[in-house]
Amino acid sequence: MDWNIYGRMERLFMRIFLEEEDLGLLVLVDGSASMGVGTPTKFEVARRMAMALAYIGLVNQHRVTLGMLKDASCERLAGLRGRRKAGECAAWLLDRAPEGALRFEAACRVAAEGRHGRGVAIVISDFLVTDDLDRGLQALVTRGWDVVALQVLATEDVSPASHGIVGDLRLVDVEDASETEVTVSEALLREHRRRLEAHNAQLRDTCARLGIRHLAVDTDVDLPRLMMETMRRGGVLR
Amino acid sequence: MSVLSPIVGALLFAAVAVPLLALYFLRLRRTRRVVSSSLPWVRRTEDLRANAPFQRIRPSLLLFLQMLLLALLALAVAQPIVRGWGVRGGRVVMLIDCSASMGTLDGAGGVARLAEAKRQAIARAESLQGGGLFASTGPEIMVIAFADTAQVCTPFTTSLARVRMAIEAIVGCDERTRIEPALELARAQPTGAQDERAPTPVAEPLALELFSDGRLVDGDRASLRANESMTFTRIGSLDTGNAGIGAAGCERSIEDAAQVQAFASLRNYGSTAVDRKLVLRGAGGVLGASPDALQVPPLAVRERDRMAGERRMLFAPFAAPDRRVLEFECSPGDAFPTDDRAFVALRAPRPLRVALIGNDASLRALLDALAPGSLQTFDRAAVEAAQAKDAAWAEGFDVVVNAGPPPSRMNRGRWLHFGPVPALDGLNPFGTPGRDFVQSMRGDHPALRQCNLNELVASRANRVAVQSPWQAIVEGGKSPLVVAGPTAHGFVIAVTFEPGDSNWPFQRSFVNFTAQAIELLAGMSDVASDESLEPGAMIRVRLPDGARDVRVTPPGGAAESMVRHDAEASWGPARRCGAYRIAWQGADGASGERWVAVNMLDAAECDVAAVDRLTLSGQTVRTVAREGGALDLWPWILGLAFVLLLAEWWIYHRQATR
Repeated sequence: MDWNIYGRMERLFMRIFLEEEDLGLLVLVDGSASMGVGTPTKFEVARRMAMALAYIGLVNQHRVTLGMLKDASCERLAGLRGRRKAGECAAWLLDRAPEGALRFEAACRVAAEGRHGRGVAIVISDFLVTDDLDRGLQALVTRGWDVVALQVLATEDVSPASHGIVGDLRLVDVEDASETEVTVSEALLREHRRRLEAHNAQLRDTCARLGIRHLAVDTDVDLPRLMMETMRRGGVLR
Repeated sequence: MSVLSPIVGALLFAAVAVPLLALYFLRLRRTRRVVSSSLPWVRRTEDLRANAPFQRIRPSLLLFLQMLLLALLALAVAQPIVRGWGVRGGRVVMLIDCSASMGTLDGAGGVARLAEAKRQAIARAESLQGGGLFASTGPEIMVIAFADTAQVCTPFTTSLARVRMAIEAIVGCDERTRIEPALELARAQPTGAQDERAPTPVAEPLALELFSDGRLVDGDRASLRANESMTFTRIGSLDTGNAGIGAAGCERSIEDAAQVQAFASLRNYGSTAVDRKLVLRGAGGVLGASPDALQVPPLAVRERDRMAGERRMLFAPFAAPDRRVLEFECSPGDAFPTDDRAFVALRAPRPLRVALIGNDASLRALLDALAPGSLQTFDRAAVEAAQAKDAAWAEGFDVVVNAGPPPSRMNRGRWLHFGPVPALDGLNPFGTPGRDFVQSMRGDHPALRQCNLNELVASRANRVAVQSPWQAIVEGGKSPLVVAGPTAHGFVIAVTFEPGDSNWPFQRSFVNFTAQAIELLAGMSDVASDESLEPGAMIRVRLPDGARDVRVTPPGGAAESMVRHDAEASWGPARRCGAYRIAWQGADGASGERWVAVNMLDAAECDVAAVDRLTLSGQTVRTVAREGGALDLWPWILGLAFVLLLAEWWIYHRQATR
């Protein structure tokens, strides 16, 4: 009720407002060396997805922040708004390359600290980490972020035998350089598949428990279709 | 179980196991591949190849199977055997009993023991020589068949065919069982593998394998040496009984020589009494029979002695004015038919022809009283002249009795001599004549039955030392007083003093001795040995002058020539029971014949129950059961190894292809 107008005109008037929020969009890309695996690499796919999401945010005048998760930290490109910042976003992403290991929980805590107001945090990663995924994602959620987890897996990760991983091999972890001697047999591939599915199931359970939307894609994904259909259907985009 | 070639097996295992283990120390050179994360991967290696050194050995099923396979192969090469089946390698002597008791028909289906022994011996030889690929040194086998004597059927050989043929060629006989000749024969045989350059033969271990019913008459005398071992394969049943003729004989009546009195004795070696009938046959007809079945009592066992039950029968006298063969038969028969029949060769009645040399009054009176068919008296010079003219002069008499110095030739004919000891082989006079008296005598000698010599004193007894085959049948205090023994063509009973130099003519024993000695010597005139021979004895027959083409016909066999030694013919040994016919052509063209009976009367041999436990000089011989399969374990081990190899191959391919 506008009491000043009522005093002058002795009639009741109700003012109606439309509040425009300053929505923050945080796009976090896993920059560890494991993202450099695949054809195309998981990092390449993650970078395109990040650019597409950032562009949507810029066009809609959201405050967009890009983050690159590496080791126990997070490189940022913050304070972006408007279509004109798209080139800067693209240049920043193109300057980044996957390297090193990732301490997921520590990196997520660092990324969660710079939040102002409401916002959406989109984490793009393969989530193949030995850290506690639960506590890393929870750090983002507890800071008020509406978190979306986009899991990108290469076809090598899902079907190693179809990419030449057969026979007697010494497997080298690209992040920590640890070696595992294996004789890749049908039984071992079944075991590999079982363990990967268990890991993904654990990730899905964690996301469900923390109220996080989870989408899993592989590197062969059709990106426009992903953005226009899958993400809209998943409620990530409207 | 023992192992014949442990070193070979150990060497094989060591030679292969080390390289096999070394292969497992090699590791695989793996291709390096980068992956996003080792998170989904689990370490799992199943190396089927190796191409780079080295790694820490890891537990592997394939390694375990391969080591097990290798161990089995090494064990098979080492040739394990079950020791309970005897020995392998070295020398094996098979002693096969072919005596009379081995003719007992108590095997399955009425098979004789000897046939069963031969079958088991052949099976044993096949198992010994059946080593196959790995039997590089099969045992040398010698086969000896033995009864009263032993015979080498084949010397030491590794040829299974020769051993089999030798065993199959063994034929049974009716002799008793003595193992000592077989043992001596086995020890005397050189091995075929003997090194001829060795200065002395090497006494290798000797494995003796006895196939017998164990009824050995010399088991308490025979013994094994330090390097000898023996196993006993018992042939025959432990409870086989036997009843048969234990003794048979006949005598001509003193009053009427044409009348004959026959008798027989039945013996039972079984544990229960049996009924038997006796029949006496001769000249193609039945001469007598027992009116009813005679019950023969069972065997009596006293400590270690087995006393056969006995029943005697005297047949009614019958007329037999000529030479003939009498056959005694007991019925019904049993498993041991050899003693179910007995034979007696009955001589034709003939007056006794006696020559007396010298003028000893006591002897002359005694010989007159004995009433021989003819008694001729000669002085010493006439005898020397007659012998100079005819060397076989003495053989024209059944007995020549001499008192005083001996004639220069006493090696022909049958002599009863009193006085200085004649110069014959085996008799060695010594010292000077002197007073002597009897210390001991052989009361079982046919010439000394019912003779009491305790009162005999000789004032001039000659001294003599005797050598085999002479026997001192009366021993004095300083020298033998009466000796007996064979000469080249006769037999002599020599008393070392003249009757006049002793008190003997005044004693009844002088009459008994002289009469029995003359009877004994006269009995040798037709047949040089006993009338009824035991199986295994030589048949020796004195022939008339000019006899030729002397042949012997064994029972059931073909006629064979006999060996001539001047006036005597011999043949043998007579190994089968029965009546042997000896026939010849005389100088006048007429044919002549005599019969010799060979009978199984040995009580030990007729007791045909197999022994449960065989002992040699108190040492128990290990009894083994020969029925069964192969002795070697290596074929089974190889089979197991083959199965293991298949399993290992299957596991390898399963790992390689998954």
